[in-house]
Amino acid sequence: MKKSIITFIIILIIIAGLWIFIPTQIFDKNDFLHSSFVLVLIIVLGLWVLYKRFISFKNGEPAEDELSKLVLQKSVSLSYYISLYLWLIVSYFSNRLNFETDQLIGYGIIGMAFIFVGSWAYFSLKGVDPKNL
Amino acid sequence: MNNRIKEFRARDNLTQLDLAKLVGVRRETIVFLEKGKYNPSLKLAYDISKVFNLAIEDVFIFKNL
Repeated sequence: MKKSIITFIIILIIIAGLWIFIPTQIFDKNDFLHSSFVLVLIIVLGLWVLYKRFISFKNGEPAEDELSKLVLQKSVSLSYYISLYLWLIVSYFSNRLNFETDQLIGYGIIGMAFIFVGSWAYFSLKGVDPKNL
Repeated sequence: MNNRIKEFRARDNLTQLDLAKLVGVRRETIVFLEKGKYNPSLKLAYDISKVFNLAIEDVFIFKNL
């Protein structure tokens, strides 16, 4: 539970930081909508994780166990593997599309985050197949 | 590896949450174990068998993959 509170505080600090700095740099309505969409996704995901942790705490279950650690480990390895291809695609298109370097890095990082969430959800729902270990 | 967790859990009138609490894991872990989607560590297998007062080989059936 202590770990969850620390994670929640870190997320709050990041969001507060983003809200402080974003309005000074964003003038374009589309950019603002895009950033807000990403922020909402982060907040929803954070709240969902916290809700699950709270339910576990309420039921007297540990926040983490051997399966959840294994799921996290597998998600990290799979998302790293897929991210390599993502960056290959990003570098391929960087010369062909009119994007600034900052934008490309930003999209790449957001893409990595989505890949991680996707692979985590995949292993959380499907489990870790003993045959693939 | 197959297991007879569900069978022994029903015998002892334990819910998945009860068993999870007794062995110190999350309920999801018991769900995945019963579905055969996860192989437990030796410690967890030992703890589960201990809850049922049985030997590991009575609860977990090892097969060559």
